[in-house]
Amino acid sequence: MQGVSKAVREGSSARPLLHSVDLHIAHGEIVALLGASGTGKSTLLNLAAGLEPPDEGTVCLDGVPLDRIHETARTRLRRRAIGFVFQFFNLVPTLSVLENARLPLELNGLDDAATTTRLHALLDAVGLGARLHAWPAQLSGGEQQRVALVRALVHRPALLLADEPTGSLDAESGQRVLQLLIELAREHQSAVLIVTHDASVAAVADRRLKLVAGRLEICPA
Amino acid sequence: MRLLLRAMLRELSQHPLLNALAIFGIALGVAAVLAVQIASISARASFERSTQTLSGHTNYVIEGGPAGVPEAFYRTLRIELGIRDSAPVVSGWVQLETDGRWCELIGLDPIAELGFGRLRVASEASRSFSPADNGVWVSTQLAHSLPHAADGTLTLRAAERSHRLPLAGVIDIPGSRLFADIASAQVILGRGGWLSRIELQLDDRQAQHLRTQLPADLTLRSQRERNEQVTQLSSAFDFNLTSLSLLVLLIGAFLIFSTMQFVVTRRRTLYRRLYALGVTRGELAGLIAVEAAILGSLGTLLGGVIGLWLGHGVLPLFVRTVDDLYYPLATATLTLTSVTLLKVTLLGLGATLLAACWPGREALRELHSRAPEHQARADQRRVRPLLLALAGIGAALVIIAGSRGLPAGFLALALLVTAAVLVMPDALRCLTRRLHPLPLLRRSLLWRLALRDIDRHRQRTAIAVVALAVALGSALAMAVMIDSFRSGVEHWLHQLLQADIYVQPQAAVGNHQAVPLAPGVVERLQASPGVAAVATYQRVETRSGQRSVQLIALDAPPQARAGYQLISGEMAAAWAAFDHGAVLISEPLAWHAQLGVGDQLTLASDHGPLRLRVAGIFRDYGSEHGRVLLARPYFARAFADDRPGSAGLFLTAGTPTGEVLGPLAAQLSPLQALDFRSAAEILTASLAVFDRTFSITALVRVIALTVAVAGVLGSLLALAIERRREFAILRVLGLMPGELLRLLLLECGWLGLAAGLLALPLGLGMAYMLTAVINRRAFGWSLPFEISAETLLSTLLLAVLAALLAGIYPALQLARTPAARTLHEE
Repeated sequence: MQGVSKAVREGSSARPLLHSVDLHIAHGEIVALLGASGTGKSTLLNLAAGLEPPDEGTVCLDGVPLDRIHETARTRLRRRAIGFVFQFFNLVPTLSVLENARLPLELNGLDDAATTTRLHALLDAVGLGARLHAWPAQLSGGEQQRVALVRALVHRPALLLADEPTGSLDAESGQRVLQLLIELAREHQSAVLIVTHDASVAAVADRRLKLVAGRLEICPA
Repeated sequence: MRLLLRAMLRELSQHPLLNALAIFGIALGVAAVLAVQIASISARASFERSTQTLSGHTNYVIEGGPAGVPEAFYRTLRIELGIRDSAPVVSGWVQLETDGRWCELIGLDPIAELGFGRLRVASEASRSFSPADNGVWVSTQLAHSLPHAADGTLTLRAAERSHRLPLAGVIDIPGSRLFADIASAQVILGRGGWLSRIELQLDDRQAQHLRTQLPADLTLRSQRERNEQVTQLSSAFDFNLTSLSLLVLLIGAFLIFSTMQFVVTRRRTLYRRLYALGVTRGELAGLIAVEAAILGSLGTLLGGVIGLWLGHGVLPLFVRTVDDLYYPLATATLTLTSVTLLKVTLLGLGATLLAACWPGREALRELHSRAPEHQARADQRRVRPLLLALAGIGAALVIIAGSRGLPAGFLALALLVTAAVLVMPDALRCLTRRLHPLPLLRRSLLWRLALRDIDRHRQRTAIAVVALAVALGSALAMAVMIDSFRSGVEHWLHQLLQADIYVQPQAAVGNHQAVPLAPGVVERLQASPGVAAVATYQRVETRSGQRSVQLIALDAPPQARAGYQLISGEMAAAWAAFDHGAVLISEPLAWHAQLGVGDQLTLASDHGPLRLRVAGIFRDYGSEHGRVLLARPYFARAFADDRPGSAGLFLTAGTPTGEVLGPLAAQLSPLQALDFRSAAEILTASLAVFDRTFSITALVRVIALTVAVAGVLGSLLALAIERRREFAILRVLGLMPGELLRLLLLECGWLGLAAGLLALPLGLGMAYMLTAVINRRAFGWSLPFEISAETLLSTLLLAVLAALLAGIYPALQLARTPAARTLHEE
């Protein structure tokens, strides 16, 4: 992200949220983004995913400027190169564990024997190998988030965006999910941007940034 | 409470389109009911107003057989029986030579009228009603539409003669009518020596006494009874249309149900919070009811406006059908009674509140129950719809078997529809789950998602599917019924119209009363070269008890007899008995009067009651009130006028129609102006009347489908709003807008197809009920049951198209909504 500014509309006026933000995340690097509520952390995440255009500045993914390509190309890029982990898991309720996890492979046309084997291995690794055909509603919060994690990484995305990934979990489940996230991301050499309020989550990151008055500040370890 | 209400109303205003659709649905339902009610009441009120004004203070009437009352009896009545408050009336139909219009000519005795004072002149300039100069007086309505005659005369055609009469004045009376002195009217109408009726002003004691004094061929009836009998002629037609319009309201109620369920579902969390804060269940129920009442009131109000407009448009169609099939009614003014308005308002509001009951009850029940328990109870309840549906079908069968009445038939139909509605959600689930294992669909992510989404949201999708299936089922039922009816009528006419050429006096064309063939016409027809046989017919209106029936004096060679399809009685024996004075009666008469072969039928004749044995029952769609065939010699003994009114010519084999027609017309023109028509021409004209009759039904069908499409749109919109988050996740994960659109359209297409598939058995069941039960009870005739593959396929196609059409807008909305915004908002 280079010189990215973004304001939110409030009636007829606009409230500045991000102001000339510069951010570069390398492959395999894990960055934690901290900040009080309403400071624009989720907006920054949306900008990074190309879900929202910046008012000013450029957002590039692997050298491709997201705001200068067509919506269709942006969507293709997102499904190929970005993985998402949300606070509330956001699994598709009508797809089973296996199907939810396989969704990015199908969307990217990667649904072959090799990727299927890897998918099963990943699900085994997160401890869900025995619950492949369970429905999201039948899983605990921790289990749902582990499925979401596999879904976010199964297609080896260049960037993993995580919005409060442990925010809805108890301490033990949260810790387990976080460990898995770090392990898998490092294994895949994905760049990771984690939005969090939790200091223990931020502690595992390579870099910690804080959003204050629309600007990024470096947080000490 | 005010704050709560404000909060809920604000939330209601967040989905204006959805609420607008619900209001529109209830409005169309109310409008359909109101329009049909207005048309029916206006037609009836116009007839009653017109006859009541004409009846004035008279409250009883003496009538005779088809020929009427002998003039001499009037003298006996006044002098010997001492009834002074009496007025003789001669009435008949005349044609205005200026524009060919048919009007009723009423002949009155000016002296007798002085006692009743019912003929008020419209202006000072108009001469009062008197026998002074053999002129005619016209009603105000007729006076306004008459072309101005320079010489102040009016030329009428009646009894095949033209009469030029001075226009004497204008009388303030409704309808298109002409008045003349009774003697002039008798001359014009060719009714010398006969009166149509005698109108009287009597108290009950006098009436009772007079009944004992009357000769056997005359009857005394009250004016009210007489008018009621006339307007009752169209009651089955009115009832059928009212029932169809109620069906539209039912489909509209689905819309309200869908909206209220959506509103309530979205607010479950809010209800729980309010409940936790101390708001009682009663207060919450009150809030739900207030919201429903607001939607219902707006819908009813809008429905009232649309209904008035629609009623105005439907009225001429209605009047035309009543005039074609039931009783003379040239025009009718729009009549709106406070009772109609109240009825429709209660219906609209009631349907809305009723539709809100179920979702409201479910939401309030959930305040106490935990979700898993609630689900378990829901699973236990799943067996109930099937049991209830079976109970409904059983009850329908019991009702059909236990009563011959039309309301019972409609109740059975309503039970059948209710049973179908109960099982449809489960049927939809079964259909959808049957598709899951199909390999082709399993491989497609979009199909998998679509089918599972439908299954997951079946509570909502089921409402859309049920609404569409009921509307399509009703439309299919009406289409099958009309097709079957039309095919039955066509087949019946093909068989009945055995003659090559049909002849009737030109004066009878478009006339409400029969005009006889001139003396010598039948003989010349029989003697014409190329003519093998001639059948003659004379139709008179008479009564069997309180029932109006058509009596046909028939002189038929074997070729003509073959046209009557006997459905009860052995052909040879029946016709042999007919030749010896027995009668053949039509199926509707047999049904309504519960007569069978061998029973006795009593008819009013010019010489008193006539008891006749029933020798056979024939299929007939010509009159829902009944027809009786009697051999001409026996008819002549009982009725004063036995001149045939029409004839059918059977040509010798190989004789072209054209070869006979020209010389015949030329030969007979000096005797009488005649109208010659081929069987094919009569068939075409009859089917045109049939199609016109069902044009109102077609309109109701279109309204039902419109409401259903609005219902599906409403349900899909609600579903789209509910699933915004789900679709936003898919978009974030990389589903293209086009793929999302395809996913939604796949869902809509399947929902439409499922609705179509469910509509087929429902529609065919309803069609069977309409043809075999409702038509039978309303009109007395049995219909064939014909289903065309084209009708079935078009229902399926319509279902898919309607659902896709309804799905386009919500799908585009969803595809266009930015995923980030949705996720943030949700």
